[in-house]
Formats: sequence, C-alpha cells, structure tokens
Amino acid sequence: MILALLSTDHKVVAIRAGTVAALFFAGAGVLALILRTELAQPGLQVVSRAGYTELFTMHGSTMIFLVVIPVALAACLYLVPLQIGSTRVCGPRWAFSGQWLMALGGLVMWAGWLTREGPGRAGWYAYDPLSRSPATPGPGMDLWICGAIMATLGAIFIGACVLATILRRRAPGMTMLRLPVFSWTALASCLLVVFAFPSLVVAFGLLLAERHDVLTVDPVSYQHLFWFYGHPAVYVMFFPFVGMVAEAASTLSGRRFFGYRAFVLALLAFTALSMSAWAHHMFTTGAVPNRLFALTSTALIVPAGIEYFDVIATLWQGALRFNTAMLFVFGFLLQFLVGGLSGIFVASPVLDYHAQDSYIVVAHFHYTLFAGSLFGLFAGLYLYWPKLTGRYLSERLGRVHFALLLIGSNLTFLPMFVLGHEGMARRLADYPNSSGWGALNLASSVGAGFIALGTLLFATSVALSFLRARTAPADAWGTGMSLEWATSSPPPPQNFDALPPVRSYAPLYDARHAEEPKPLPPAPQPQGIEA
Amino acid sequence: MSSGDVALLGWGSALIAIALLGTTVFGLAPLPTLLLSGAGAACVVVGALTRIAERRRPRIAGKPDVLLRSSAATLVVTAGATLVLVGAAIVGPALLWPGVGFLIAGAGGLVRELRAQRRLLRDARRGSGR
Repeated sequence: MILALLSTDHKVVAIRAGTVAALFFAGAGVLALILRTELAQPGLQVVSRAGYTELFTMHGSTMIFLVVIPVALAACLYLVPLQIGSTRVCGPRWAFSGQWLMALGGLVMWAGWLTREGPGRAGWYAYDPLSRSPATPGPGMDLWICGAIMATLGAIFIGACVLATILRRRAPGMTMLRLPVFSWTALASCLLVVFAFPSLVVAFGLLLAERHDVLTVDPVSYQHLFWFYGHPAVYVMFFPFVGMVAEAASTLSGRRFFGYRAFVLALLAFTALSMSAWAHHMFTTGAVPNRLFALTSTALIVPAGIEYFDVIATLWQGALRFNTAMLFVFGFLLQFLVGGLSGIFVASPVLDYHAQDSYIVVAHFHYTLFAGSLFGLFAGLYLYWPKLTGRYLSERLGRVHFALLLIGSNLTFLPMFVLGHEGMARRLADYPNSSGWGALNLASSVGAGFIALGTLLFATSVALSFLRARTAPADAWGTGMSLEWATSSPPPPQNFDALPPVRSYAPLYDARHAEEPKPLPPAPQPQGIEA
Repeated sequence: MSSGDVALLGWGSALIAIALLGTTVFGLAPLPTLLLSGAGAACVVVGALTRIAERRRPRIAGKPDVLLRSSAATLVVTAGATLVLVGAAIVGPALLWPGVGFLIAGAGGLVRELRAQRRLLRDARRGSGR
C-alpha cells in the first residue's frame, strides 16, 4: 500500500492520478446534481443564491483543474512510454511530484468548504475585480487560488516529463513519424501544457498578491493571462481523447490509421491555432481585435475536419467490432460534432454578442468536454482496461452504461441551447415562473440523473472486473497496432521484456502481416491473343 | 522527421508568425503579442536545446539505466512546498515554518537518493563495460 503511494513507476503514478481524479469527479458530480436539482423548477428550493455560486464555481474548477486535465495527462503518462518503447518516463520524480501536487492542490481547494465564508465563489475564471478581497472576502477564495496554482504546477511537471520522454526516450527505429497517433496527441497536449499553462500560475499569483494588497492588476490584462491558459486547456482536455478514439478506431477495425501524415500536420496546426484563439472569450470586452481572434478560431475547423475525416476513413470498410469501446467512439464522433460546430458559431463575434453569458455557452462547452471528451475517455478506458489490469470490463454493463450516458448527456445539454437562445443567463440560481423555462430545465435535470446512474453503473463494472481472473493476453484485442500491445497485460515495471522491430507507426500490424504468406503475383496475361 | 526538434522548431515559429501577423495586420496589443511570441520563442529554444542534446548525447539502445521504484523524499518536498505556499498565503507561520522544515528534510533525502542512483549507474556501467 505504502509502495503504491510512493511509487515513481509512470504506470502507477498515472493510475494514482486517475484514481484521485475519479474521487474528485464523484465530488463534482454530486455538486452538479445539487445544481440541477435547484434548477429543476422555478424558485429557490435547495440552496441560497450565494450557495449556488459556490457550487458552480467548485463544480467547474474541480472538473477542469482536478478531473479532466489530470485524467488527460495521466493517460499520456501511462501510455506514451509504452507506445514509444521506453522503459520509463524522463524525470520520474517530477511526474511523481506533479501527481501529488495535483492531489494536494485539490485538497487545498476543497478545504475552502471548511471556512466560515465558504470556498472559492468567483467562477472557475476568478475574474478580477470580482475575485478581489472586497467582493469575495475570506480565506476560502485564497485556498481556491492556492489549490489551482498547485494543480496547474503539477500539470506542468507531468506535461514536461511526457514531452521530454517523447523527445529523448524513443526506442531504436521509433522516429517522430513512426510515433503512434495517441503519442502525437500527447505531444500536442504537452506543448500546450508546457508553453501555455505557466500564464495561469502568473495570473493567479498576481491575483493572490492583489487580494493581499501587494499590487493591483488590470482586469483586461488578467483576462489575457487567464484565457491564454484557459483556451489551450480546452484542447489539453480534448487531444488525448481524440488520440484514444483514433487508437480505438484503428485497433477495433483492424486497419492502420488512415492519413497518418495529414493527421500529424493537422494536429500541429490545430495546436498552434488553439494557442492563438484565446481572446475569443473576450470579444465583448471591446479590448481585443475581434477580427484576428474570429479568424484563428474559425480556422480551427480545417485541422479538426481533417482529423474527423481520418478517423471516419479508418473505420470505413474496416472489420468493425461493435463492442462498448467502439460504441463510445461513435458517441464521441457524433456528440463532439455538436460541441465543435456550436463552437464555430460562437467564434463569430456577431453571434457571440448574442450568446455571451447565456446557456448556449454552457451547452457548447458541456457538449465538447462532457458529451465529447468524456465519451473519448470511456472509449479509451474500455479499450485499455485489459492493458491496465489484465481484466476485461463487462460488455453487457458497458452497453447499458453507454446508453445511459448517451441519453443522459443529450437530455441534459441539448435543452440548454434552447434555454440560452431564449435568454436564460448562466450562473443564475433561479428564473421566473413566467419565463416558461421550467419544462426544459426539468428535462435537463432528469438527464443529469441518467448521467449519475450511468456513472454508478460504470463504477460497479470496474469493481466487478476486479473479481474476475486476469485473462487478457498482451494483445488484448488481437488487432493491436502499436507497442503497448507487445508487452504483458498489465506491463512489468520495466515495461518490456523484448521489443519488436519498429518500421512504421503500426509495428504490431507489420509483424502480424509479415507472418502471413504473401499472395502470389497475378499470372501474366497473354498479350495480343483473343479467344 | 527522425528527431523531435523539427516539430518544436516549426511549432514555435508558427506561434511567432501568428503573433507577428496579429501585431502588423490586426493591431494586437503588446501583452497578448508578448504572450504568444514568448511562448513561441520558448518552444524554439526547447527545440534548439533538443537538437543540441541529440547531437551531443545520441540515444543508445541497451545503455544501462536505473529504474527508480519510489521516492519518499520527493513526497516530503512536495508536501513541504504545499505547506509553505498555504502558510505564506493564508495561514501564516504556523504552517510556513513546518513547511520549510519539510522542504529541508526532503531536499536532504533527495541528495541521498540521487547519490545512490548515481552509484548504481556507475556500477552498472562498469559491469557492462561501457
């Protein structure tokens, strides 16, 4: 037990990070259920307005700082060394420290509930001057800021380790253009983490100093610093899950990933554009050149389209295996499309002025992060669970889990587009009875219940899987493409006992097909003779 | 593309190019220009360092390596840093000084761990004749 807490093995660190994130996910989920219960009908029934503000702040910041980013980085930390044929991660102590910083940061953030004034309550963005001491007094807000700084530093440490591992610890023959698709998405995420996340540490450091009257921060400068982190963070919560979906699509259709080079180029362009689009969150401030940020934000659809096309083309005419992981792949492709396309609408300043601070924005980002990324995560979890544990998850429970999440996420988030369009503002604990928003809000709250049921079912499935024997072979699905499927399930501490030769981005596929007898060349056709 | 430096150099240059475009064509303010071009420049520097590292110390297959199993000292340092941050920002000396104590103790442990690691690596290299 103590060794599991102190282990610096990248696989154990990643599983620890994932476990801590799952605990915070449960906490954030409970907060979301309270929020939805409050909004199910007009009037204040469950919490006060101040309590509601605390709840949505803690829900949002927990999901972003303590759940989705840590899980995305944990996936990178676990899989990248296995995919590139490395025995370990670069700087294991930094990764270890990063994981503990994220966990301790979460505890510090949640310790705000124990203070008299309550926890952070200025939104996950903690806009200045709302987050200054006069507007948000009490140590709970300071604890929230410290916790967010720690969690972000932890993310930077892990991101730097994964980036350095890709650059310096690849197996012989593993050139950059032979990296598996997931490792490329991990590299893209880590570029964003290492080069964008420090601005949040600076922003929150300045905020902390401002709250203690050391200096004054210009609110627009604060927003630049915050969103320079905040927008790339969305892609850190997206790219690894696209990578998982791509791996699942390729593995479960038995085909090499289609359009590999185009995907890599599109991914790098996607990453550069996503670093350059942050101020679309500031269109209505009037302090940014809207045309530039509308251009960079809208241009994102080109590389995103290429990636979508590549995943669909990989599935096209493949020998598809419709297990739970594949269902989540399709769920991801359909639902993220809704999130992505609604993002293109709000990338237009004209439409953004209409949608600003309305439920349209809430629907958009929940479609990308929950209905999109989380489905990608589940595709990856069902695919890689045998690799992590040596055991398979129940297919029967998995299909029910998928159905509950599909119904739940659409029932919860689709009505929000309509509510936003009709003028319901976000962050409000109550709405008038005469607004006519009661039915849609009730539907949304019922949907949240479906999501909770689905999550409980998944937890049950995970628990039941540990009662089963370890039966998963190295290549758990028999159609693995990359090196992680060449080692035992779960892998040994040194990751590999032997490595197959790497001559492409799908070395296992190459090895399987090298064993098959080559078809005889077609017989030469007689020329110039007619029967 | 056999080395990662090309990806980093290209990506960092793209950020600088977008920042330049923003400043010259769209009148981007100094702070956002600095953020974007600074990130790009930092990435170019990391790319250049990677190239230098690849040339000076090429990756050799089968080179002896130490697999670190655990590190209690790193956890002590991390806990100490947490106490120092929360102590300095909120609670005060009651947490700050114990945090400093943890940091010092953890740093001592880290030095011991690193020495032991270096010793192991040296022995392994002697054993393998490298």
